[in-house]
Amino acid sequence: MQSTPTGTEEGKGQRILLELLDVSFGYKHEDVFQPIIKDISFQIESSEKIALIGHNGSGKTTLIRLCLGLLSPTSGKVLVDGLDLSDRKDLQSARKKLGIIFQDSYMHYFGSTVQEDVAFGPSNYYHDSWKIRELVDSAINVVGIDALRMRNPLKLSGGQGQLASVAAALASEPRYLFMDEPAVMLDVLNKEMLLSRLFNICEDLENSIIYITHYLEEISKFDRLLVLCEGELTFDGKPEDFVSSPELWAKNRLEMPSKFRLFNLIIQKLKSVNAMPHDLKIDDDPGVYCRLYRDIFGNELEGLLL
Amino acid sequence: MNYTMSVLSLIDVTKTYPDNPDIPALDINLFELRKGEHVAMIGEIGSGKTTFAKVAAGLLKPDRGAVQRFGSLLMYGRNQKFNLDKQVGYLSQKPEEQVFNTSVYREVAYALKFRPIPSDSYWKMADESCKIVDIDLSYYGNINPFSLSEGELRRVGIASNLVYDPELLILDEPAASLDLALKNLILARIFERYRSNNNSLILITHDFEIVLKYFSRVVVLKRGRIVCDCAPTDLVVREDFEAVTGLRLPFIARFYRELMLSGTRLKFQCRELS
Repeated sequence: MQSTPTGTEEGKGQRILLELLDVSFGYKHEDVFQPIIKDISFQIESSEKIALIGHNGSGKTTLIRLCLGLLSPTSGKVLVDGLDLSDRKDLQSARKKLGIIFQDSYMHYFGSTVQEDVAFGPSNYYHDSWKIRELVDSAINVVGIDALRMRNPLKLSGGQGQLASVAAALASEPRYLFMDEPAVMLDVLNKEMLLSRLFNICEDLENSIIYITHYLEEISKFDRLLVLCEGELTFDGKPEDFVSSPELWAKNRLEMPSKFRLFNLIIQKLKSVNAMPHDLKIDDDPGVYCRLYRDIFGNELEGLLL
Repeated sequence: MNYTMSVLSLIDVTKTYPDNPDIPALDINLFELRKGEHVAMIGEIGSGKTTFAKVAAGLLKPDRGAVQRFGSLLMYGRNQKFNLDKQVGYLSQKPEEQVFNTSVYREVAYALKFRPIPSDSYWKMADESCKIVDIDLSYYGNINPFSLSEGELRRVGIASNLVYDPELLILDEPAASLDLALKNLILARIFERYRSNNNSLILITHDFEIVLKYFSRVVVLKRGRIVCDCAPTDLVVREDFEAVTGLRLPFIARFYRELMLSGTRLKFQCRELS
């Protein structure tokens, strides 16, 4: 089997885990084949934190469904730890390694309490009730929804429901956790908290996270960024490289969030004023941005970035 | 019509859900929205934003208190038919909850059937409101809404409200699952339309950038209560913002706040007419 180099893997000796080989997918609409995913290849190794972005309708959700074996590619292969998802037997054993939080997660509850819902995954894999309990407890603690334990999942608010479904997905400790916008209904504080907790788990358990988001400010916190545009994988690399290039954003039909525009504005000015090396990092505090901004522009504000 | 006319008022309204009896989901002394006013509503998760929207839309009966719309009290149960519901639009944060037709065209044009509008202009009106949300009706018209993606379904939900130009539109997280470019485009068009025909709008969101950009009034909910009702720019500079609201400002707002606190003179460009 030929593996396709993507240029981002550096770790030698690390076992390649999830692998997509020239995967394409499409629907037939009025007898015309409409491609949705076009020839995508990449590999995901253990404990990688990956953000997946793209404009509306670029095929992000479809790509994730292909990775999970919920859709079969029209051509190409998806391999999970060497298991081929098109093989029914392999699919069964591969599924244990895959976790998913759907976009419309609130459509997928079936327990009568949050606790029961979270326990569903582990109780399919383990018989030991002590072990199940431990997994449920730790998932609920990690997400910080102890107060919601005995509530009916269908009666939760949008944001609470999203946290509950994150806990449910974490409970079975999947090696690859796919998340389709798990935080759209969360406020900034909860978004940041959720992400840092997910990263901790990712490091502890050496599993990988593939995170779809439209809240693009988040992407600088990830190790790796995948960008989809009209079904094609147009970028695979470090988020910083993407952030600093406005042309790439335009090419991928994405709009740059205000934070990155501010970042690029300051960097550009610093470069043009003097060639001094700057020490501004994307994830720096707003205070640092503010100090630099005032150094450059003084007390005048040059247009609003909103 | 008088500008100062009250479009919506909630007086002494409480609502408690049976599965969480200790904490009221909504506990509002007074909330008033005037004609032509746009208000943004923010709050931490579970703070009662959606409950507020449902009560205001007349979909949920409060335990106590009065909801007044366009000068008349809202009625529930068997008397519901006397409500002036045709003037109010509501978009749920879960668009699947409110979409029920078999095609996108039927979904968008559905509300027109109950209004004195000749049926030959349905398509034109539906097409017009679909254009606002960037949906091409000639392509999507015959597609079943449930085969659409989350973002598309939400846009169809918005279009089915805009089609009859409700005098009060309540949008619950209309921008979730839209990319930034589309979000800015669609919201700008909606606000433009609502400003030009002087209708009222309530927008529930987590996105403080939208609030800063388009609104001159923001209401903050915390544990069902209104803890703040002021201009967004006044809210940003408050020292105790996080303590009062339980929210965190987005990066750019924190940056502006730093600038203002360090003495930079800054005038927010507020696009809302006040």
